[in-house]
Amino acid sequence: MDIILKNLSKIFSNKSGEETVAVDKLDIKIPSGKLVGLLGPSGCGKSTTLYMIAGLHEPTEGRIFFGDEDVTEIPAEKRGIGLVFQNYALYPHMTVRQNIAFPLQNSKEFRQSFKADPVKVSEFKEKLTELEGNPEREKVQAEYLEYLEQFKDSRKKYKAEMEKIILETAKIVDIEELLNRKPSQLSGGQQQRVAIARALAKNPKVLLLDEPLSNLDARLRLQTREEIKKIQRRTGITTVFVTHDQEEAMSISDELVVLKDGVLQQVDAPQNMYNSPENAFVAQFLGNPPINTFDVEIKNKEIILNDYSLKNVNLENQTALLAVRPEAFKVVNDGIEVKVYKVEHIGRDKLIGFELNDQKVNALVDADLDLKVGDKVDIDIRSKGYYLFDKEGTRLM
Amino acid sequence: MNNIRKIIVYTLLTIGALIMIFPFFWMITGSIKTYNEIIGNPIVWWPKKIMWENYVIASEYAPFLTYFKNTVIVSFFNTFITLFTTILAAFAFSRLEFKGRDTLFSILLSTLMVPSQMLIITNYVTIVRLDLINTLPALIIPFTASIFYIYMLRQFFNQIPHQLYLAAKVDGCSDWKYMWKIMVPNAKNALITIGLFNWIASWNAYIWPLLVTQSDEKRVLSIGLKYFSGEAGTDFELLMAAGTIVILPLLILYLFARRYIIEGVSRGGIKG
Amino acid sequence: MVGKTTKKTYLQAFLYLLPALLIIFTFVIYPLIRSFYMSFFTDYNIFKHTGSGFGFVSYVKVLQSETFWKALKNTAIYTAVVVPISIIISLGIAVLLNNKLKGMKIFETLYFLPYITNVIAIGLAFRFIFHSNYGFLNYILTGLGMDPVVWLNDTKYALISLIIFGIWGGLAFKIVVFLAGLQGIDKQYYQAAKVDGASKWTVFRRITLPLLSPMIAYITVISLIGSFKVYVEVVGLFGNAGPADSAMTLVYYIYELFYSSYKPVLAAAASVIMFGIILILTFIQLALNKRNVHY
Repeated sequence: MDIILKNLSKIFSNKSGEETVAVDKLDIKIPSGKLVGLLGPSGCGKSTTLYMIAGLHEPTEGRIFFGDEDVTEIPAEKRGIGLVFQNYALYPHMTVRQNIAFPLQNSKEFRQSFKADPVKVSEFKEKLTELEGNPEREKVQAEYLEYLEQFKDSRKKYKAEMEKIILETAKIVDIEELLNRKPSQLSGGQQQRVAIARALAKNPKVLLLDEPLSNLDARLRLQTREEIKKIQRRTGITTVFVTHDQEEAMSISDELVVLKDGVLQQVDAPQNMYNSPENAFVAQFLGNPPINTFDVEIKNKEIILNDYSLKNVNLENQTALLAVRPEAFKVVNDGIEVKVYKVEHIGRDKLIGFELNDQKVNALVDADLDLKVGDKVDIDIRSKGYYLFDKEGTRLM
Repeated sequence: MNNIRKIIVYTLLTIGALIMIFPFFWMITGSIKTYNEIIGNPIVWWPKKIMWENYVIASEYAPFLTYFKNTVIVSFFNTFITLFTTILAAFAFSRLEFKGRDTLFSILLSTLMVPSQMLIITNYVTIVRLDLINTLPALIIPFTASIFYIYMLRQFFNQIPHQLYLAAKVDGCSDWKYMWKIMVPNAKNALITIGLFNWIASWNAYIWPLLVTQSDEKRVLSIGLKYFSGEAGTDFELLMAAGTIVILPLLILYLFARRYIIEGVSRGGIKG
Repeated sequence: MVGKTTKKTYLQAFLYLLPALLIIFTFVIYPLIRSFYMSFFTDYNIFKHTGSGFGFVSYVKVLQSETFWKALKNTAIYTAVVVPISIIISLGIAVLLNNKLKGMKIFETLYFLPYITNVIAIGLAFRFIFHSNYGFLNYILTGLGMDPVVWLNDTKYALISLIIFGIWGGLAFKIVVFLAGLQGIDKQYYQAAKVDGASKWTVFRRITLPLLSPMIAYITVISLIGSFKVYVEVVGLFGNAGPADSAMTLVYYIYELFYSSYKPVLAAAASVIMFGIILILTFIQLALNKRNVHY
């Protein structure tokens, strides 16, 4: 089930009449069956967007589609979505089993599936009165009784099926032993899995997660984000999750949607977005350590930083912003001389810090290089991994 | 929320509110009507002329000014002495550490269950023995400590971090000073609430004053009102005036201090 | 030094507690014991503290008194009606007030007004409203074409009038407590329930009420105890115990024994009996609460 947002906006006005534009004319298509991350700094409108997809916030403008269906006017309880709240919102007075059962108990479709369809019943009844006196009647009578047989013991079947679904869902998130506990008896990670189970129980068309990892400790975070990916793969449900952590978004998402101040910045697969950021914000937001930025001059088709000519570019003379990924620096024999002020070992790489143009720069270099604090080295920029942006932040090349 | 629901909510609430405040409205407007207006059929909603005389006449029947004065004095001393005993006791139960503290507190708490009817006879005797019968102190003293308020304040004090106390001790601060300079200012809201509750309870007290007061000049408003209603019989406009005299000061107090009073009740309810 | 209880600590604690303890001991604990003691005598001189006839005589006398049983019956009826009705009404009002609409705070202020009022004084207003000839209630009834009711002077209606008065006065406190409880329920639970497809009624039944149950339990206990001790309302509304004592309540009976009949021993015994009943009721209620309340 695709999720399509058309021209979606949300404007909040507070008591004094001031207006805040939380979401500004979003046009996005979230492809069916994918795990998509809504990423951005706090206040960028990602949670608001999520809540609008859920139906808990009413859009000020625009439409929302699930597949071909316009769901904008449909209230949350009828949209068939599953939502995992940031604080889980597990009903504290119910056991885990009851929490997961709750959405099933509210589902009319689920309840109806155990009862005879009234339309069919009246059809049969009509036929039977029609065929009064006709030998054919017996056959229809037998069919009718056979049909009704299906719904015998409906109460028992209802309970059995519900228990089955609960167990299945519990298995997907690995909480089978916890079914009789109350939320207060669970750890944070367990509570979250229960929240996911509750969302999945009703077999939703869409699964939404609001900052699913932010309440977990660092160790659990890594584990859980893999689990989320696993669950999404297993169920194949279109899943959207909100986060401000670019690393976690990049690691598990099939696609990223980056927002800033309610405005869409870029939509792309994580690696594409990393390699090819459309604007300065996206370039700076993704990547750890963060990208290094410098104010440069483009003169005579050269990028000039201070007095250094860094690269050749085919652009007009202008001031620009040069962004260089840490891994795009390399140590050379003959380049720009800098003094190293910090050296950190990060496994395969070495992170060194030096000053260039009165700015602190982070660079990832080969771990084998023998560098100490205070060393002077020559650096240069590789052919890939740097980007130019104009004053407004749009990509120049 | 859609408009139909809004209308329903507002309508229901308005009807309910009208029922709640109607007796007050009726009493206050009744106090300034003439007898004929009050019993008038059809209903006279607002008097043609405001009959302040009713208050004067009522005061001639019974010395409401005296009653008023007595009630103010009793409420005042009751409230402030109670605050004093409550602060000290709550501080002891909250910050001071001594063996048996919590047991003692539980025992005291259990006395809250005891109905006052069991206490009143002996208290009467005690007052007589102390030769305080028919005096204002008799109305004040028995109520100058209440385990209920001590419990309330202790809850509040417990929320002020214990670290603060230890830090102050290290800084050479005495307990007495700490209590008055740190804990009391931080518990201002709770203290105001307790003070208000106490004042209101004292103002409206009936059972005890009835017992220990014998002469008219020592009566408080509730008692004065009771006797007055017996005498003024069917002079409704006078009865309403007398009732208004008793209620009005509290209404005014409520107008200004309602935040503290309501918050006090809701907080107490949450603690359960 | 924290944790060490020295003589000095005891002395200090004692001094701080002294004022409160002095009062509480003199006017609560001592009388409690004395009352209990007193109730086991046939005759007792409360001033000389001497008594004769140790035994259950006073209790028997009380239990044989017709007035006692009448008072108990009235009190039981009053409690059985006022407690549930006032809880249901106040819960409903609290739910209404829990909407995010303009003016809710003002409504709350109005609904809480009866709490601070002097019962005797407002009783006068009610006396007038209930008046057979000039009362507002009968004015409305006759306006609607019905017969006027003799609210306060007819033995049939006296208790009902008391009950109405009791409900009116009992709403304020409950409304505020329930409202605070409702407002304390995390909005997220409602959002989650919405996403889980729950109808408004289901949400109320399975989310709101259970989460509110601690508050309801608290109110039920307090309300039970308070209603059982109804007294000032009777005085306020009738001045006496109603026509032919038809509004006589348990506490009124006890005070009568003391004020008017000068039989302190019987009063003591009756108050002990009342205390016993209240204790039993409270324990039953607490047991019920334990089963139904979700914390």
